[in-house]
Amino acid sequence: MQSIWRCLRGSGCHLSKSLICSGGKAESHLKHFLGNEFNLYGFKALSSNGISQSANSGANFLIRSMTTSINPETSDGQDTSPSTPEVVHPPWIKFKRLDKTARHIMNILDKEAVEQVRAEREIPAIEPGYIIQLKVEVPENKRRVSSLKGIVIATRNAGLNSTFRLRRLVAGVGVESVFPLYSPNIKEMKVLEKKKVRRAKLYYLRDRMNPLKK
Amino acid sequence: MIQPQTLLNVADNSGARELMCIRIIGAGNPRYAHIGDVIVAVIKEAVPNMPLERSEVIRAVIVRTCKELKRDNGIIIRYDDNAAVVIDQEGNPKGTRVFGAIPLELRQLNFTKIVSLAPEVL
Repeated sequence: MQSIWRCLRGSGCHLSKSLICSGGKAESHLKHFLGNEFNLYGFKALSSNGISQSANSGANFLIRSMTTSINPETSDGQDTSPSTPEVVHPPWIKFKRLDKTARHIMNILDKEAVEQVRAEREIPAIEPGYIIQLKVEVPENKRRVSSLKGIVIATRNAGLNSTFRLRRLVAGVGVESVFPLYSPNIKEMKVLEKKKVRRAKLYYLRDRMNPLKK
Repeated sequence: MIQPQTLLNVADNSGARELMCIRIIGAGNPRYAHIGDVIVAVIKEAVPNMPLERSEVIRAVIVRTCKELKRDNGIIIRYDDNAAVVIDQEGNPKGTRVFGAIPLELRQLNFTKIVSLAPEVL
């Protein structure tokens, strides 16, 4: 039975022995399985001749006749033309989502604030791995703190709230400070050196640059 | 964030090396102590031949924590260790020298002697 299907699928294949053996019964079996819709002309040719050229034509014929009994595709002329009379809609007011609008405005305000600060003083680009010297004014001390020098181990980009993390050794103790990049307390910033690092956050330096580690 | 059983380094030359926090001084049963809080501690390790000895109960003020200290101007400071300075009942340090960096907040909390002895005030 399977061999019949195989030769139906591919043209030009030889019939197997099993078909010839069960040639007589194949017709009735197929009729039983496939129903009366199929043209059995091809089968008759197969069963009588065995390996013959008519097998091809029969196979093709059978394939052609093996279309399903579904109706041919319905015409596309079923699109509904509005038979109802025209309804007049009022002019459509485009309504934007308010939270999106608000976010857009906040974005613009943020960028404006950043530009304003950048116009006032020069802030160099800061990446992790840079060695930086800062001059920070501390109002509690009432005088300028001597410049802080350290390595940048992390940066966080958040518009006006961008921060960077500086690690330095102070009197034998490792100190990490987080500074807002656009803080008015930072009077001057200078990049001394750029170290090659393969990471965005250099937290592994906490173990390496730690004089207090036992 | 210092709590009982926390081991602290000692940042002065009073004779103690390591303290263990027993109790946090303050009203309302504080859970954690931060920079500037006074704690009751027991000396776990001491330098020999000094006035302070091992397993003595003393008071200390915390000067450095691994937990970040936030300031109003947006600067955050984080030290690499937890350290304290041994003090007496009035708040004066028992040692004569202070080691390491001390934050500015201690000045507002009336530990001016410690701040003046500090090699580096952050």
